[in-house]
Amino acid sequence: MINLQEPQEQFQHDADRTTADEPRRAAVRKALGNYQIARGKTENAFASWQHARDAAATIKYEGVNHLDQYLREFEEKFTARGGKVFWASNSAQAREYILNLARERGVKSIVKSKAMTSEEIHLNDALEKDGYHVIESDLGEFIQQLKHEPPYHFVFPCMHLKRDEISALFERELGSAKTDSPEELTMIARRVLRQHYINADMGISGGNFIVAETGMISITENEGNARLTTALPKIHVALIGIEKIVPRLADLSLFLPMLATAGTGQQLTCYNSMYGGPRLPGEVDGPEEFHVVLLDNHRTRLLADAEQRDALHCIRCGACLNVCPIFKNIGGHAYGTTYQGPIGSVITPHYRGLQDWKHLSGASSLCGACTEACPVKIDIHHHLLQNRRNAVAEKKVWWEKLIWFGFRHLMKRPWAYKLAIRLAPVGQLFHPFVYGTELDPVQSWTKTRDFPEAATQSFHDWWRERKGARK
Amino acid sequence: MWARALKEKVTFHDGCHGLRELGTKEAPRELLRAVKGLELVEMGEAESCCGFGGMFAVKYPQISTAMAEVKCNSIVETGVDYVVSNDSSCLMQIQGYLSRHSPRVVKSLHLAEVLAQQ
Ligand code: SF4
Repeated sequence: MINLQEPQEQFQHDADRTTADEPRRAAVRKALGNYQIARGKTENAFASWQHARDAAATIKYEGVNHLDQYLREFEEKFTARGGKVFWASNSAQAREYILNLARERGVKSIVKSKAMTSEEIHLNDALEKDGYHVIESDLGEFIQQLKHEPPYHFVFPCMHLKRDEISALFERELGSAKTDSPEELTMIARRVLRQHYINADMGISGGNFIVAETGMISITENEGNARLTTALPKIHVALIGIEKIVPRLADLSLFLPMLATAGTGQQLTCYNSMYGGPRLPGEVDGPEEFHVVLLDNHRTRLLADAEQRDALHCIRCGACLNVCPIFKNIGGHAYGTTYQGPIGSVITPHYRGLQDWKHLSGASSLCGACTEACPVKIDIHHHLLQNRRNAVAEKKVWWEKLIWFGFRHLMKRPWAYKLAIRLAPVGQLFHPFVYGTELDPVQSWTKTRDFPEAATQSFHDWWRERKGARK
Repeated sequence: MWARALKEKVTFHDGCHGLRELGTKEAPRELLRAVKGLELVEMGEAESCCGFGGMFAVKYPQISTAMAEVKCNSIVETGVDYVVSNDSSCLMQIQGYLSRHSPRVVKSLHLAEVLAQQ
């Protein structure tokens, strides 16, 4: 049986470690500070960023609330051009489909561009176990793959690494010379990757948008690696979550600049490509076979939750992570999830079990910076609150129940409340004897912070006695 | 608390609920600017959460404290003697951290306390 406490304990443990690593926290803070400045500038390039957010939320609402209709429209148009669509209910089905395809076509080598869905279904592990050579072509993902580490941030996979750490990794794994130059580091990776593009017989990508109207998928990127991944190998598979739907092609005129702005502070990412199926007669490039795997994997569970359905509007821009003080201080790996940060804390309990992952919804001060930053207006921090409520409704925690029982009774009885206020200064006389020790009832506060002194005069008393008070 | 002739430097912490739920950014600053002898110095992390968050502060003390550290370092950097806010929970967290860790004395005050001195 799975120990239900495990992810929660692991989280506490990892957060202890990462919050103690001030140099790493400072580096992440600095990088995200730069993001904030860039983003502020691009936001101002919109006639009205707030209206753009309203429009985007409306479009995603339309798409997500008519998923059945739009996904079928996509399938129809995409298959009409010779593409194949597979509907995967869960991760096992998606993995099986891709593994079978690779087996049947005699694939040996696979090149991948960024796809968080593939992290979600642990595709690389499954492929490698079956003997396929798999290489990530997004620079950040490539680095994380060499490190045998999952992405740190779902948009910036290796943002936590410093240049010298990447150089040392390349020295060790690729035998390259030590360098401090980002350009040289990129060139080292590029040289390795070029060869793999040519050798690969299958390409795997994600997808940023599914356009129903034209039966196309849209991929945005900055390195050109997704273009090579989709263009060179004979077979292409795009693994995409069903929520990535937008109804019309024209919707991208809003979403492409919006994703770039919220994601990286760019006006547009360097490459924005549309794919409508395999190479057609007369075309000079593109794969001979193009498969789109539409991944549910519990997204429909979220769809069934009217209160939190808007979490499916997410365009995975990462803005909520970039502004989140929790993310900035604990870092991406501490979450232990595919999708880190505020949106990850909202959706993971739906995807992987509320009781196992509810602690992520508790690990938030509910400051609301995420909701403010979200381009599609997902009510992120209130969803964290709803997860907490749902978790308690499902399974009570006895000691919390006890605390709230006591609190409720105190607050409902003015005499008891007043008595407690009078006794507080007396009680505090004994506090120094246990201050900060295991016996201290507020130890988890006093270990790192001073506890406020109880006022000698209560506000009630002061109010009554103040000058000019009506007797 | 402060003599009229004396210049006191304060910085303002935007409590998350005031700032993001109510959209109050300028009002408290306007009030502070109207107080004679008081100079408002903005900190870099004015809008960052102090890390209190109710039960969060004791359930995840390591994260809560790390957030307080970022906030308080920013406060101390401004060189002020007082940090003002209109959220008493934030003030409990900020004062709790400052009294334990700040290299010099910085006191926290509620906006109402400042105005009541007038
Ligand atoms: S929840 Fe909003 S801010 Fe966060 S990644 Fe999704 S779209 Fe971006």
